[in-house]
Amino acid sequence: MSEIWKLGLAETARLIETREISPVEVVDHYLDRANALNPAVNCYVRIEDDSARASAKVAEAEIMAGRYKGAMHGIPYALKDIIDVAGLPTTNGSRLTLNDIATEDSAVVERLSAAGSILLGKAETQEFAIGGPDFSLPHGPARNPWDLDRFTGGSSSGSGSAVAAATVPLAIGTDTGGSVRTPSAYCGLVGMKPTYGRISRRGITQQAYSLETAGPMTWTVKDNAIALEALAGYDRLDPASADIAPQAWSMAVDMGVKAMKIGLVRNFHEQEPDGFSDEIVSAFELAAKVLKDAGAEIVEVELSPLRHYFAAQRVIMYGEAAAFHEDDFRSNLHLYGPYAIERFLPGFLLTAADYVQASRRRGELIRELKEAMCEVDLLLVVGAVGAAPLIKGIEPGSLLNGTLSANAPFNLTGSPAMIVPTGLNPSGLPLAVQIVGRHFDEFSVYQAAQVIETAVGCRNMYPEITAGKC
Amino acid sequence: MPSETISREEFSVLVDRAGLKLDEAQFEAMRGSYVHIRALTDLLRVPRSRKTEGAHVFHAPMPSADKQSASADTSISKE
Repeated sequence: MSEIWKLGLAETARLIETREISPVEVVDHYLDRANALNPAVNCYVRIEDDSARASAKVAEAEIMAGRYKGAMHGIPYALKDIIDVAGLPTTNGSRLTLNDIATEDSAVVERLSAAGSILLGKAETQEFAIGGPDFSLPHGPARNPWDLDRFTGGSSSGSGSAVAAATVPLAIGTDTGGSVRTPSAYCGLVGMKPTYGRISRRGITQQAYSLETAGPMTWTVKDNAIALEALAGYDRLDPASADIAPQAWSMAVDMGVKAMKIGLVRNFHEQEPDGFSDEIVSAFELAAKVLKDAGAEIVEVELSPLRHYFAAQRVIMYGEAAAFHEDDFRSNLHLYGPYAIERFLPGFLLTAADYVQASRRRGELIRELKEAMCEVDLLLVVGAVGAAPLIKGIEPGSLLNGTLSANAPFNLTGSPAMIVPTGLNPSGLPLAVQIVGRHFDEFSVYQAAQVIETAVGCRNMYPEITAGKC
Repeated sequence: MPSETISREEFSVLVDRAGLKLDEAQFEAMRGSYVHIRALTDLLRVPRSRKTEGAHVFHAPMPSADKQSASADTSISKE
């Protein structure tokens, strides 16, 4: 089969199960693509050719012996390089930890390995999941496959680039203020930030412990749901892990949205007329129409201004990150890149009262959102500030200029939130919308996401580099 | 509204308190961005009554099942 990369995760899994394709064939195909495209897109910090091929042979033998483990068996994936794999470095994209070898697998890797998935490589990350597209660091930033001069978004930048370039059907990112969702929006992917506590954080380098979670990044909604089924689950070794069983989220894709009530959060972008591009607002309106046409009841929901959610999220993120990096900032500041320094420093300038005030505000805003969601099943929110910007426009000094994020509010509230592509703008760059659910109701999010994906029908449009035309 | 940009002297106090040693470029870049940090923290101070609860409520850890049963056993034996 010559174009396995076009199959995506779900269809590849079906063909593996029916033995029409072998995990060895799948892994060889993706390794060839990863090695061929990585020099251009720079999405991997390391590609695990030997171990991936060995694991594929094991998977093939298991399946041929009748020991098929499920839809993730034999599926290759990429892992953001802040997540531990025993025996491999977890560089965190930083000179500070360039040679730190993990001694144990993270919970995420344990679960994917148990499901029979195969690590293809570790994906580039912005420094400690917070820096920017930093050319001063040893690896440098990943490139956006839709336009190599464009930013992937971050901080799961390599994960976004790796899936958009179809070098792998699944990448795992982490999201503290939008780090799964922004690169998913900029790279034209489906990106899920599940409810806080759904996926264990054990073995993931901390940035802001009360906000962050891992999440799957894929080409389609169904691929994403299958991946979350493998990733989610209680872990007694993570104090924030939720003892709630995973659901069969992949079944949601056939359910539609009839009888659902969906709230449009327009005030987030309407109160910030300079904060969001017209085309990203059009993407939001398109998704709202699609959901209405599919039978959902659409209502307006007004929340507190986006700036209030954003402020509380940022102060908590800066404060928690500063505590984590305090020793190194005092003694090894010279090892950090300029973007990371700029984004960590605010935490050192806050007071304890600032952090507690942010926590109080957090409680108030969580209550507000919970009350709003008593009336609706889902919220629809703008997905990003616009299409992917040029990398060269993101200089150090530009990160603290008050740029808002419509992703950050849902790290503050711990809600499940997902990016769904809505097509391309006239320049051929992806646009997206964001769907937000009640806590632990990822199922409804996937239902609505599939409706949008089906109606928009943009999953057969690939970046030129992916199609091999570049 | 964001607070006014902080003076060099005032900002130096904050940097010293944090135990950081910034070079001149880092110092000035962060001093210039300080207005945005204050804009965030200003938004957190909304009117609240004195009775408003904090966001996180501390709960004393519950005794473990083992200790509970041991305690119950002791109580029974005393009877």
